[in-house]
Amino acid sequence: MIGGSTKNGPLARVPAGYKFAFLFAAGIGVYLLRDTGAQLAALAAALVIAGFARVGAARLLRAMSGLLIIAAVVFVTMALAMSPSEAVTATLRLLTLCVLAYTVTLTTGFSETLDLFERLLRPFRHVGLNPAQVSLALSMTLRFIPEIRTKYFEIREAQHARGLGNSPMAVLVPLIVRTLESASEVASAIDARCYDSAERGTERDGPRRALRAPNGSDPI
Amino acid sequence: MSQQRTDTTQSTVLTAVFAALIAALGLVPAIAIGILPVPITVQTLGVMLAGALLGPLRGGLAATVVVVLSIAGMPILAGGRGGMGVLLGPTGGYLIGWIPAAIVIGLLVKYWAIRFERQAVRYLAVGASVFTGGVLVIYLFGVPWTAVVTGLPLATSAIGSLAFLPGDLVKVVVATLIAVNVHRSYRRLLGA
Amino acid sequence: MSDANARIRLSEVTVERDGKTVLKDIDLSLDEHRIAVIGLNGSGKSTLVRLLNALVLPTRGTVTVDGYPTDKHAKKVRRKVGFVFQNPENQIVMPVVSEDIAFGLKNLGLGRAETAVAVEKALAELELSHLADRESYALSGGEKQMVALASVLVMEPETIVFDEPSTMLDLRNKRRLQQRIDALTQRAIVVTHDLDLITGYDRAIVLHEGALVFDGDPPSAISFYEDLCR
Repeated sequence: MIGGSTKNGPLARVPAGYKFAFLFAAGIGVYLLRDTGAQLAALAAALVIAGFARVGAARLLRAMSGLLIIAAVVFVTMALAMSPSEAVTATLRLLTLCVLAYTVTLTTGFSETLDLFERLLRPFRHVGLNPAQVSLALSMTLRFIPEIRTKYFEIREAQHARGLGNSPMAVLVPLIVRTLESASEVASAIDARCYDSAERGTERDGPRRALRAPNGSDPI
Repeated sequence: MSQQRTDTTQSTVLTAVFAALIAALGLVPAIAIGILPVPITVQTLGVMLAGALLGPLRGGLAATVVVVLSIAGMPILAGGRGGMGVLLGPTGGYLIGWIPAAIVIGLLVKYWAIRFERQAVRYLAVGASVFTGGVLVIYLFGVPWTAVVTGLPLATSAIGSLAFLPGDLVKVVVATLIAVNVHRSYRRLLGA
Repeated sequence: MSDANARIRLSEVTVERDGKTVLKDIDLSLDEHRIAVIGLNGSGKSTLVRLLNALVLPTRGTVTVDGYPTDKHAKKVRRKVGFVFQNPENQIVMPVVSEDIAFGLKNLGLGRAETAVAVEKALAELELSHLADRESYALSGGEKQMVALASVLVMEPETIVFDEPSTMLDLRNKRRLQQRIDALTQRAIVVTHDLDLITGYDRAIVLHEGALVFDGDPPSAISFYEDLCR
């Protein structure tokens, strides 16, 4: 799930921050275009960018498949409710943005994006959001998604055997209880490996501390 | 002192495992619920539970983690979706709405609903809290977002969202039953 | 008494949890190379070993490691006493194996290059190098336990505590782990129900209902424990 995200192509080397900033600007930009011709040009430009980035038509289509259905629904609804020309504008706008958004996603490494988010979150440490803890939470989430999924299927199988497989309560309550029970053990294991989440200054470990990543002292 | 430290680590872990739970629920096939013929995805159920079980801070952070990971491109939303496209797409508001939803549910449950001693009243109050955050708040973000992104009139977008209402109501009931039951065995979960 | 210099010292330690006494008046100096802790479920074994690296703090009494009281020097104590948990699934916290091994080193403040070298070395030592880039959840039970051990070894503790390490393992992996523990140069304190695992140990401690009921050589400890179970 985490692997297979090796990014290549010319856009992969552009820093994530620039790409997301461009996406943000483009998001506002397409709403300012009123004219159908301009919208068409924007979509064409987006497709050129996707082509230049060597995203690959197949990958782009796969990522956008669900969205194309929604776009079709939007088009029909708009055409009926408003006017065909407005339906065309809205649908073009939607497609342009999504091509750009998926191009950014498909050319930006996952960890690179996370690094960007962590940088953006840094100013929030003054209101008690500890970046070190946020990044630990993000990594740990990735670690536990497959684990919880496996547990879910195990429990569902067990409940099926008892004839309870279709009751969400019978599956989710044990899943949550098991998850909560493992949580305290996981916390102990993290503490046991010298993770220092809460306090700063209770102990000095010499000059090595200076090498630590920027670390607020407040709990999440 | 060291106990305090463990509690902080534990909060981080709870945030992460509930974020993982929300994400994992998006990967499992939708559960068909008895009375309704329509299968519903259970991901918003995870958001409701994060708020109702962990409180506003950790619950809100769990939802934030899922939103951040999905925007960063992890295919963890129902049906394997993810990436900026989801956010900028017509349903982006329903995704962003998860964060305030978990916070609102957490606030209402922690400081109001869970304090009722009588079981029946507690069930109703938790249910009302989950409905407020998990339906009203999410729609409050989702409906205008769809209207803006697609250019549909607000009313059309609102009427369209009603299609999800029956499923969402079932999720409110399930989340309420689970939350009250789990709180009974884990009394200190909300740190009261 | 020469006990003052013992590496790990528990003096008059009592632990209470939720109004119940889990451990009562424990006095111990732990200095042997291989120490086993045995006892029935709920006898306080896990609590005892969790005292040694500040995961549990005594309600009364003190625990010191190299003279450092655990309640005031948690981080220092945890560097000296590593802990391998019963269920490795709860111990591996990073999505990729090499990241997980690096986790403890980052907590110690090691730089990126230093960390990479140490991680590579730790994996090679346990013959796990081929797992470096694997996703943690996809490992087998035996591999998970070995990765958990590597993640502790990489921090170079002087003592390693094993809390029922073989419970989740099949026979072959159990033997492999046993060999690993036997080969460690560090001191090992092992909580276990596997009595045949501890026969060669230097010392064995038997706990019963929160009290220390036997302390001596493993064969005597085992026969004492078997009498207790009768």
